[in-house]
Amino acid sequence: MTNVIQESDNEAKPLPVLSRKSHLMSFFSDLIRNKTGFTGFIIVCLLILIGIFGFLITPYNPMQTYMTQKLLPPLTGGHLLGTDQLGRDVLSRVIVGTRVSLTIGVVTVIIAGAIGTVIGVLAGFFRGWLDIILMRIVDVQLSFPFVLLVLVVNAILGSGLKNIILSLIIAGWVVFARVVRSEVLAIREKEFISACVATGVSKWGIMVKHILPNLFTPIIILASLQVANFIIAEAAVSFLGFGVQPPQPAWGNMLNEGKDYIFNAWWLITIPGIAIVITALGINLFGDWLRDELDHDL
Amino acid sequence: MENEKVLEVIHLKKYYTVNNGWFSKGQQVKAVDDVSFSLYKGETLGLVGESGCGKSTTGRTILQLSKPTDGKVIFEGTDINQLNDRTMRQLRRKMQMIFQDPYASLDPHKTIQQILTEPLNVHGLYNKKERLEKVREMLKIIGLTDAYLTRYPNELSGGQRQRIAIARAVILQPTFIVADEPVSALDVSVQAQVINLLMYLQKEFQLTYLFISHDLNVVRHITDRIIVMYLGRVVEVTTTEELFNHPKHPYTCALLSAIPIKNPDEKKERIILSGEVPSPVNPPKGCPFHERCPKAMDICSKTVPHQISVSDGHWVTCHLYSNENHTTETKLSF
Amino acid sequence: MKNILDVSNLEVEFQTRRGSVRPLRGVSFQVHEGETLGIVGESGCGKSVTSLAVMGLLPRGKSEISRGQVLFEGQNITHLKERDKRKLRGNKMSMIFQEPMTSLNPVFTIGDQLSQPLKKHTRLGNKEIMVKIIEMLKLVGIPRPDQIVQQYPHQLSGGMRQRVMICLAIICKPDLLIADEPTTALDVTIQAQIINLLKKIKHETNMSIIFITHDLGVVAEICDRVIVMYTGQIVEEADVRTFFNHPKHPYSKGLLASMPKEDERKQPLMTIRGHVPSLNELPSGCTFSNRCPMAFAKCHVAPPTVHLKEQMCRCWLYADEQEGGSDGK
Repeated sequence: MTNVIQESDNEAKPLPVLSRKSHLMSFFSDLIRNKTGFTGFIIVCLLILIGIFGFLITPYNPMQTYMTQKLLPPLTGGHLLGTDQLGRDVLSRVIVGTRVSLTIGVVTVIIAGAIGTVIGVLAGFFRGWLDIILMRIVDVQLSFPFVLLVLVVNAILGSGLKNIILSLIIAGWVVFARVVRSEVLAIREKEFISACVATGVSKWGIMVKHILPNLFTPIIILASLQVANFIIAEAAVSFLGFGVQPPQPAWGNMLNEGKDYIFNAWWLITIPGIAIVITALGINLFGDWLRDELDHDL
Repeated sequence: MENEKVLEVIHLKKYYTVNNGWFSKGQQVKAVDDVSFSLYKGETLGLVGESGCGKSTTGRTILQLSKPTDGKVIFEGTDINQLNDRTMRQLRRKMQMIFQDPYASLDPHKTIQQILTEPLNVHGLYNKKERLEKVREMLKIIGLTDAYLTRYPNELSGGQRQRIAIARAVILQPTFIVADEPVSALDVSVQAQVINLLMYLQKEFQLTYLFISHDLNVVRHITDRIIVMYLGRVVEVTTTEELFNHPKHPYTCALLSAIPIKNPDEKKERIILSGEVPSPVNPPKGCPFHERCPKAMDICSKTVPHQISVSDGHWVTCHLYSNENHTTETKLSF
Repeated sequence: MKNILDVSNLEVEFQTRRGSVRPLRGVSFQVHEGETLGIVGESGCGKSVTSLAVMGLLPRGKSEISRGQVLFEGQNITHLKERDKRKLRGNKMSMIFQEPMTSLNPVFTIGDQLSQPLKKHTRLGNKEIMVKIIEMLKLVGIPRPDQIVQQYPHQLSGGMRQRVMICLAIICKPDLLIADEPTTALDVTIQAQIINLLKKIKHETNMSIIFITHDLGVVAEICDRVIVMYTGQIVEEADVRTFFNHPKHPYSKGLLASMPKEDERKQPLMTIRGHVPSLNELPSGCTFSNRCPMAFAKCHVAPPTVHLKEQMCRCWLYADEQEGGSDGK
């Protein structure tokens, strides 16, 4: 068989083949060029490092109480960020709290994301009564304020790290299910899915091989933004006295404990508050950039 | 041309229900309304008409990409509406489709190799090594080099993507391909390449095409026979030459006269139709074309015309040719 | 003949995420009073950018006119302030877009939208405006105009919307109308209606029209003169008959040859090999050289603009046939 249909000369020359590696390179060069995205990226990296290795750099034992040194303001008595009402070092507690917050954020997003994705795909792909039932559940759940729902579930389950994660998952999967379902509906209508049907690919094959890979981008984007939401929700719940229980340090319960001293020890609520703000801001900046970047490439 | 029927479409109907707001009842749209035709081995049958005439829906319904409301589609002797999911999927190896928009019809997350191997995988053809060999061979036929195997669709131009889409359809060596506006999304200079490729592949693999298009110049070039559709119905069927030289249905005449001229020196009599294609939700009573028809008679608004044979293999759905009309009036002039 | 528009050496630069590209690389042309100029080319050739640059509608911040100038009726409008541009747009020069649905605002009635340019650019009272609108709607062939003015864009069909768009564009009797692929989204029979309408407007108003399209048939129908663009440059300029009967540039020849012919059914079509290069991978020298069947050694250097007897052509093949003074660029 001869090649009667010629492409041009510029085709005949071997074109520089873009490998996965150079995709990654261009990804990072784009990141460095974008100031806000890069700031977010740096913050997220620092947080992860602190979360993992933070316990190595804490100047004091975060659980150790020194009743003689209580309520020291920042930069006094060798405490960079002061001490709390029990004389514990605030800096050490914020550092250790990072791990709690990040763990909660990441673990809940992974599990809630997985559950939401499965349910969203099933609802969007099979439609019919399954879709109707699942989406009504989602509707009902979305009509409650998120934090209130977390509180209620947490109140039923009891406090503690595991239970706060569980309640965040129970309250949080719906967002994923809703977004994934609408994405699936959009992808289903794309012509390449029709092309798969015409080729003879089975329903299962279409779902696993074509719809799921195309969901990757929207799920990553949503997940990155949800991490911040979950961290804030955890802080809110812990602040209200549920969630992570003292003496284990978490940003939320540090706020809770500090609120009684708001008029004479401002740093007790300011420091963890700033930690929450920086974390949420960093993740959101990075997530926004990620959305712009990934949406662009398709 | 052999006279072996590859496909027979009998009284095909596809109705949709549209919801026109929150409280109104759903209305029925007759996207394809009683369409019948046959497709012979090795031929290219054109399906032309304006947007909303049901030509794409006809193509998709034949391939069971949407379920027909009524009617039969007989492919190589089997009524494919009766097949179960599994048998239908196996049969799809024999009947393939090329879509209009090469930017939408290729999965953006798959490499060219994955896209072209998938049909072979699905139908369990060849072993792994032979599959790659087959894909390379196919790439060569469509005029692309092996360097493209690892590319993603977004690294390709529109014409190259459409070549890949064509290769995906042809790699299974089907007997029958529905090409739904395969060149209308492409640049002018690339259209000709793709048309040539389609004609070459037809010869090489003895393909039968159902070629859906609104571009009458392209249709004239590539097809053997043409079906003209209007508002979900067939208005005229005949060979390409006969249709362009002796169009019978007033709609066909108007459609042909609307083709832009090829050269500024060319003089062309225009039949400018008044108004536009009516909404298929409320099609006119009687002949669906009568409101715009320059030759409309009283009867046209009352009864639906039947298909009438005006000469061998030339069918027209128009009251002008019922009774003995057609024997006296051989060519319409407006 | 008087020039309505004089574009000289126009260059436009776009900022993209991966550096800047130049969709227009030195474009010069004139539009005479009352003539219809066709700009032909494939996607990415810069024909739409040209029209946006002339209209002053280039996206701000992302693009700029980096060189050259646009003279409209003798006035330099290249770097006009936004407020002064607005005085021109819709009044002296106006534009019809490809997609009629997205160019009309869905929340205003047809009457509201048509009255806006009149309110802005004339001193007519409300009643006079209504009379004028109805008169113009009749001109563009819209039946029952007094009812249509009360309706919203979504209540009209595609062809009707395009008529309303045309009405909107010509309601202030502009001197220059830019039509960017006005019939591409329409069916053939509707396309024939719209082309007839534009011809009628042309005859009745002596308006200059720039007609941008990729469809050579439409060019043959309506244009007096043709410009062929390729990768942001004009490669050929000729009056319409010369262009169709004696095209010079290999690209123009290729475009014309690849149209299916009536007497060559089922024959392989003439093609131009390859595809339009993207703006950041243009070949050096003549940008068409990698697709050109006639390419030779000289083509590695950018070709000169050659003025022949009846046409202008940017190609080395004709460098010796230059008429009169040379334009060595």
